[in-house]
Amino acid sequence: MINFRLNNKEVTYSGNLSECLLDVLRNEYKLTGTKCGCKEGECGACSVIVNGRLINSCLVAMGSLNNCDVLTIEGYSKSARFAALDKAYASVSAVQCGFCIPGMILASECILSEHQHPTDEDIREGISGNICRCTGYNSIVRAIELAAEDQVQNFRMSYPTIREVDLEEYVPKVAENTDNSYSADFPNSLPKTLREALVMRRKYDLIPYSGGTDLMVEENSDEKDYLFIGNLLELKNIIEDEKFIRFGAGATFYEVLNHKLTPAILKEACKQIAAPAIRNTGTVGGNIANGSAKADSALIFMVTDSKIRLASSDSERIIPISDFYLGGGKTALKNDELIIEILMPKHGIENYCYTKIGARNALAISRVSFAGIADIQDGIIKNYAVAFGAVIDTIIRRSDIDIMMIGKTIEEAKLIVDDYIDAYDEAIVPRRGRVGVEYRKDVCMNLLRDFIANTIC
Amino acid sequence: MECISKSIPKVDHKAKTSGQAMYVSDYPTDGMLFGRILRSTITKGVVQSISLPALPDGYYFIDASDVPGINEVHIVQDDTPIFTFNVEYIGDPIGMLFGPDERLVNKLLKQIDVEYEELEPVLDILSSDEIFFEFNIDNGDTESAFRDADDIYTGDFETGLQEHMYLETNGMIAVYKDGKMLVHGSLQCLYYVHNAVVRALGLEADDVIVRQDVTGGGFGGKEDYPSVLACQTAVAAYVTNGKPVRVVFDRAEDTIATSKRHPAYCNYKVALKDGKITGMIVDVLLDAGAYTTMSMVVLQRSTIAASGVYNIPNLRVRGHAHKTNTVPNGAFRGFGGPQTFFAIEMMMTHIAMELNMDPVDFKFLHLVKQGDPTSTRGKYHFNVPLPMMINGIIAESDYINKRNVYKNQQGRYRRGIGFSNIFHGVGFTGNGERDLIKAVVKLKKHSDDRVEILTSNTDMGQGLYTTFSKIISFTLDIPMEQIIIKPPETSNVPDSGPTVASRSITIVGELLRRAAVRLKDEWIDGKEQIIEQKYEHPEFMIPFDNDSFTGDAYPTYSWATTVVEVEVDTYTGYITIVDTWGYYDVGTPIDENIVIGQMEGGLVQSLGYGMMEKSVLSNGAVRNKQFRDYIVPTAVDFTGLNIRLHVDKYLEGPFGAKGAGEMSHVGGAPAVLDALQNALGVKLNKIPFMAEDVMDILRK
Repeated sequence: MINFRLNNKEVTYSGNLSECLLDVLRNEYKLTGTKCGCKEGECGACSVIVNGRLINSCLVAMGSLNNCDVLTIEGYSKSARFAALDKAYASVSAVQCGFCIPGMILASECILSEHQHPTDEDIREGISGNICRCTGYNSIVRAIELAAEDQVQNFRMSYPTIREVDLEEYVPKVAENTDNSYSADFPNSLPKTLREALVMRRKYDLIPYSGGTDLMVEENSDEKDYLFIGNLLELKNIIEDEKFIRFGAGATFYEVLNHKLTPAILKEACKQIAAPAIRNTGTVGGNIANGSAKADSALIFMVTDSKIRLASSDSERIIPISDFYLGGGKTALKNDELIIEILMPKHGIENYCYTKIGARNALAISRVSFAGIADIQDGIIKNYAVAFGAVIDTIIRRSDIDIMMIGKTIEEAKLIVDDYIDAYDEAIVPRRGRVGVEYRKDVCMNLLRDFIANTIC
Repeated sequence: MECISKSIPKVDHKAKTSGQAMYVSDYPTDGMLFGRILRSTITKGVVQSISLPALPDGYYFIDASDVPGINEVHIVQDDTPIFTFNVEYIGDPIGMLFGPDERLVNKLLKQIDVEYEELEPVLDILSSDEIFFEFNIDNGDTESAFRDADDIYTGDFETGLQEHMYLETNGMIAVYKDGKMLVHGSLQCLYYVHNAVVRALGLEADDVIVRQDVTGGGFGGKEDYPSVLACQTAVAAYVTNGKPVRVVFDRAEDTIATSKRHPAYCNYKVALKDGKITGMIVDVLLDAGAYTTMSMVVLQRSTIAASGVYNIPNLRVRGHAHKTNTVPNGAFRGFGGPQTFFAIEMMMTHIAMELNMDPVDFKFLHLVKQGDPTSTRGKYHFNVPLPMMINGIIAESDYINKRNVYKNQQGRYRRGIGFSNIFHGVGFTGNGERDLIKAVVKLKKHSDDRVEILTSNTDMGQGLYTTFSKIISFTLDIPMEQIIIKPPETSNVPDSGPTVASRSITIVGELLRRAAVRLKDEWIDGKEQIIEQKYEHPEFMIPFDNDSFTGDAYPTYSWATTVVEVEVDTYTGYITIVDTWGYYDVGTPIDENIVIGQMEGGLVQSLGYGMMEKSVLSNGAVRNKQFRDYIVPTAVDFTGLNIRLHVDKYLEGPFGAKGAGEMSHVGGAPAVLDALQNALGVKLNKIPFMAEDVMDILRK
């Protein structure tokens, strides 16, 4: 059972916690303004606002909504800013078939609540996860611009999103804690603390559910039992210590992207993930846990030689992220473990290159991705690292090849560049996917050569 | 600008922004049964047996043997079955399982075991020898033209399968009560569905009522397919007698089962003398898929457009559509035009490149003008405004300067600019309007003096309820609030024809205008009045002869010219569309915003068709079935759209309007490819052309 606010009314939901919000809104609450276009977070027709942020209701299991504030078009259409948007959309005839429009209007609201004077780019980015097949988007962009000019103040939708925490109050010290009890009765997959979550994880066969953006796309997602850890504040911290920036596994891409500690290379990767609604829900922990070679943030953690902290209810370990990936979508996560945080080195990652090739500019799954880091001090290469994503079933990260560059002067490095390239030419044996082997290989090598040219030649 | 062109809020606006508009999946589901179609999992074969799991009470399975009338869906021909045991493609419907719990229906469906005797399918169109349709054009003396030519150029062109990806999937609800069948859902063509259901159920026409629900996009994809789904759903409703049955597809099923744009293979041979084209021989091959559905009429347009907007005195075209064991291809915005316009536009640029001429100049030399013959020996009766439009777009886009600067580029990022010219023939091809459609409209003035518009034409987002209402409002000089227009239902509206072929405003809108003129004359305050108006074939048209395929295929044409500028990343092949200019002549816009919305939306689909949207088939079935892998443009992809409307009034259309809906989907793809030719310095001949293709070119 969960409680949440639906269009400003307290409601109690006692149905299946694994069911997606979209189905519950339409079937249980008869709120059919929220449309179903794809059921995998790729069209935005089902967008609603949860805790002030745009989300795809098809990608959210009910269990992750405890104590949340859910706003659908039915509730929103009573607001002052809806009136402004409605008028603006009407004035440029931005509504054609209308099926994307409830979601588009809510995406518009999120743009206006974030930017008082949104630019064309802000607007397009804000609706980049909402497919419209009719308009070509120009009229919708114009409508949002017009509505912004109206400067209507909407109800405040302020929710704490970016937390700042001291290292001292940073909670998870798992192994020292021996309290194996938790207050809730099973079946209850809603832990209130990380401690409870770890105990539940050990005791029951539950799938850890953080953002849900991958899990909910899977077949029969509503029949699986999840351990809802996405709302655990202990997993959402982003902090730093002497050596590392530490990203709580439950930090969403939005939170990572907007945090002052986040290094530029990671921001650049997170910025290109899917679209706003996915970034508002998807988490860095989930991006790693799915074991995918296409995971955009994972590529950055790999190239920076980040570490990953895993814990069970009675032990914890910190391992290099490269040891976490076992290939073929498998990971080193044990049945009783959760990903707690990712430790990313603070220094030596300023000089980087990141390129993602998708099939379009948003909502794109990587077809090839590349990241490179060159830490060069006083003419000496302190670190040199490259990683390739989406080429084979795991991220390619070959420190055994990169080592040939490390410790060399620029002049020395120039002499072995050809050997270095040859080594990667041999190491990269792509698989055919949405794009062919030759394509992947050429792009990898082009990007590698470009990175070398920009760093040492 | 005409007064009527000034935009007003669309009449269905508020219902859609507030989420109150009722699409088929939004109807209350109390007491409803939910259906899922059992589809063939093999490409071709004969069903030997169907083993069902034990069905709980209230669950039903139906197949071909349950069809009370004729087991054929009437489209153009009748070869599409409602359900079949002789499967012709992966996805062919075998039967339907339905019951009160949709999830249980899904589970039970997966437990059905079908045994087949498999037969050898034909998957490759180039090896298919089953010809569904063929049309031939033979004008002038091509043999002499080729014999006397200075040079002969040839080219092969290929266009891909395009998926509509309307946001709302197909869906239908049917209920059979007291001897009456009500079917309502997402659809473009009210009477197509009505005629099909009447035949399938063997009911009297009056006992079948079809209504359109608010429809979430069509683009041609809901032209013929809803007839199939309506028949299937209606059979289920007939069997259960009294309970509503609903079938709403999920995205994957919609992609597997519904029609697409025909892939095309075109071969051109062109004779040149003294720098001008004297003769052209074209072969146009369309992949029809497993059933004929709309292929005959799509092929007509492809064949007619094979010589593009150019005057080719000696022209031979063979258009033919063949069967393959793939999902049937049907209507998609542009309706055969995008395929051959792509081919002819590329062919023209290739010849220009050989001649070291700018393609714009070479094309300009050959443009048709008023009074010239059409490819079917009809006549361009009206002004062809292309020269003026071309001059405008060339200047605004700085085409000439850019085209030269972008030749022979080095470096990682390379730009290119490209250009295309197209027309779209307005309305049904040939005598279709006169002989097949015979449109009728009605205006009903209620006793409170409100005027109700009664046509069978549907608004699927293109704004028809608003534009129709404006035509009446301006003709009768009454406010918009005094006009009633609702989603049509066959029990209320006459058959004014389907909502296709860019015909609604030009043909039906004009009938409404004429009806309104009469109503104005006969108007009596406070009295109920009904005015009926029937289609009259324009007298100026040269009669079209179906057998010889000659005469006026269309009364008039809408014209467009497009310029696209691209940037190519030579390291990754990634193509960015930098800017796009589209100049369109659709006559008088009945509503400027609505027309611009049609142009922008169609242009973006066309750019997608050229360089982004690719369907991948495996054993004849579409493999990329979802939004994640069938890639359509987002708001951050094609950002710089510059649309201009050129108004060349069509006097037979209401207020001077002519067809607008489809044309914008024709010119984008050839302009993108021409831009890529400019950037890469090569000749290109296939769409979609994507990053991988760029890298293939660069590797060579």
